[in-house]
Amino acid sequence: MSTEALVVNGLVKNFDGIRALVDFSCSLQQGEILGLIGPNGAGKTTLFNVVSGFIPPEGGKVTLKGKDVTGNAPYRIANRGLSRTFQNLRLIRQISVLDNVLLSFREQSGERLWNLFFRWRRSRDQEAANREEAMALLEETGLASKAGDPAEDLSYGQQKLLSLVCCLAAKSNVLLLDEPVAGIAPEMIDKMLGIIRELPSKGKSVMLIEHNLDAVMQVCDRVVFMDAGAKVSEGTPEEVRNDPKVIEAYLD
Amino acid sequence: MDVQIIANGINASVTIALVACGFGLFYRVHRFFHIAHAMVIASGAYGTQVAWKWFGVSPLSSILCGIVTACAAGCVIEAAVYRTLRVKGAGPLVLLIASVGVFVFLQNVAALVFGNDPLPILEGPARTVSVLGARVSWIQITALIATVALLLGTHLVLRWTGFGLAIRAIADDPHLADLLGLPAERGRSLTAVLASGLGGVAGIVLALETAASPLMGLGPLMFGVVAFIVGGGGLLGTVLAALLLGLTQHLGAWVIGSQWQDAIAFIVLLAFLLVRPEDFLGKKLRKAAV
Amino acid sequence: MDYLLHILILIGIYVILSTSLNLIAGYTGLLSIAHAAFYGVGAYVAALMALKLHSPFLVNIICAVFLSGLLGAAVGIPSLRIHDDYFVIATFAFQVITFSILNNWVSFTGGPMGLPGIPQPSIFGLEISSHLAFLVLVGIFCALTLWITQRIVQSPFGRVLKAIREDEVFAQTAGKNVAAYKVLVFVIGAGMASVAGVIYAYYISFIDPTSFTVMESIFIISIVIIGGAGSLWGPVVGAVVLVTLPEILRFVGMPSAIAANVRQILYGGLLVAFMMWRPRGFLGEYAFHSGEARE
Repeated sequence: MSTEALVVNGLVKNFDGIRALVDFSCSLQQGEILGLIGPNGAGKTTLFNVVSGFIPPEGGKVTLKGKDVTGNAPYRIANRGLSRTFQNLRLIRQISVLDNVLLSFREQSGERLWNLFFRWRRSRDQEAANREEAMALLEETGLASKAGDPAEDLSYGQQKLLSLVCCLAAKSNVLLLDEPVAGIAPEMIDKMLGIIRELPSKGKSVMLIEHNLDAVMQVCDRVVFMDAGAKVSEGTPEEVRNDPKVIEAYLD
Repeated sequence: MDVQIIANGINASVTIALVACGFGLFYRVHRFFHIAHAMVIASGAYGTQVAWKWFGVSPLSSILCGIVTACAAGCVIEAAVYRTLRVKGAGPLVLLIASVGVFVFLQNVAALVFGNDPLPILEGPARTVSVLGARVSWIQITALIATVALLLGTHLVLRWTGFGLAIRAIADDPHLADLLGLPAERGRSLTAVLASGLGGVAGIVLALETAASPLMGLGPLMFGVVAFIVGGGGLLGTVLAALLLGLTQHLGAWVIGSQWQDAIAFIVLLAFLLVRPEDFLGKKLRKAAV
Repeated sequence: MDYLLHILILIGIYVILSTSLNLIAGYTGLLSIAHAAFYGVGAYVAALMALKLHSPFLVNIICAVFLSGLLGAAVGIPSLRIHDDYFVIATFAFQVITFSILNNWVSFTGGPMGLPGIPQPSIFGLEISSHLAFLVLVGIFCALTLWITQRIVQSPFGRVLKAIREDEVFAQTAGKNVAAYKVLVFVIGAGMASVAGVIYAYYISFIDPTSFTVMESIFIISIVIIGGAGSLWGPVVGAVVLVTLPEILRFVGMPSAIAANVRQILYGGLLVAFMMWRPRGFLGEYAFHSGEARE
């Protein structure tokens, strides 16, 4: 059995003449936290978009837990066990915090029309069970008191935490986190990093994009440095930090 | 093939082109579908009607009155409804709904004031001449010449004047235009005037050829929307699409009957929207811009 | 008394129409002006079957729902590629095309002359002929429509619909097959609207295309918007208000011809006013904000 949770091979993506991904390859090992760093416009979020199926690549392959998912619809890739967060923070702001978490559970019987009318009790019971589990997740992360509030009422940091909780509710084992601690207060950063650090012990593999190099150093097992759509350096945080190519890219 | 059909087709495309270009200009600057434009078209017709038949004003001045009425209607709608909503940050859907409300409102006011029945302006059959074997009326010839002049003029204004440059800048990037100190609000108002003027002329042409009625603008607006979308959003494309639509309708009428022309136009539109779901500004229409 | 019953029956028909459209436009955020097409298909299928095949009421309703559902799927599929206000134009296209077929396929639908002489329905041996009987019939289907809608919107399925309305991308990330939900909600909404059409056809016993125009679609979406998109009772309030409005005018002595125009002036004005000051309508939760700002 492969120890690689996620492998991307030779990804190519062009937008209107801009080469966003240039023959990019890397792999995420099972149970590791991989940091993806690089200057703005390096193609990090584009990589996430291609992996999660929102943008089809012009070339290359994405393999999730041994299965080729290149160019699949985002919802299909999600159901294969991949969750992601977004740089510009996506949530359903008009519904409650709890509803956001409940939405994220997979395989809900009550989401099928047939079950709503002909297996009502089963749907109702599963929903009640999910509700308990959702509240437990919210308790763990300290958001339980806000469960009934609309998601838009949360602070920015709490919203970021909520999107992480949604990933946990989905029980995905591959998580793509796009700038999970950007723009939030230091106490919240510590809290988020604490949760992220625990994820491998729960069987999850994480790739995260971050500009906050401190956070990356603290939490990542390995780091990939990207610039202009290509991989420039790869290794432990220390190795990458001291790589002359990386230093040169930052000084550019 | 009968030359008459081609002549009829060209005549039809004249009003479609006027409506489509006005509507399209408005859309490119304001970024929403101004359905109430159908009533701007009608107000051009009614303005001419009132001046000509009620006050006995000379034909040329009546037409001018009609154009002014249309421009005024467009400006009032823009200032009273759209600007208020814009200030509140309303999105294109809210603006579209409000525009539909304005249309329903004004259409019924017109029905109350003028009645639901069509009001012709000219009496009796129009004098016709023979051009290359087809019968065309003097109204049709004048309309064609006037339309070509107006659309050419619009193109020149947009291309070569400061005002036109400002409009194009606002259409492309409203935020940048604001930052550059271009008078965005004034640009929007003037666009409304120009678009309404074109629509008013279309209404006047239709009223002179047939009659004025409260719902007269809805049909031309529908075809104008089709021509604008199929034409890809630029002035030339819109005109070509209008020409194509007018010719297709009359050719189609000759082949399978004129009652199907609405359906044909909209099947073309649907096919186009499905195959090429792109905004004219080149961005993808798909919401999944991640 | 008959007059009062007539008004209540009309309210019932419009409650079914607006509630079904609310599911599509209010809960899922797919603004549509094609609803009169589904309404019309329901009416015409029932009328044609009753007149030509003499088939019973229940069979006709099932066929009407089925065929209208197919049309619903046809309208829903473009929503996967076309969004927001462009999608509204696409639904407009479907509405016009459907009306054109009803109005011009004279040999089948009777064209502008319509279909007269629709027989009274008989259900399990009971003849439905009096106003009271029709009111009960409408009432039952109203209750059924509201119950089905409530079950849907208060369930995980309904939660996905609201998610699609607010942020399709997030819904996809959560593993939801957005495309399937969109098409399905159109099928359901179209099916429910066709029931209103069936009842209308039997009640008035004569139908023609002028009852199913784009202006009718606009009226139905206005009920949803004014009553309140995205709430269960909003469309009911909207239907009551907008259907009784012209009747109140008539009571005040306004002549019928003027009342028709004044009614539309009022609801056109209400649409604009609500968009300016309370886009979510009386009871609604959804204010038609755009998911993504157009760059």
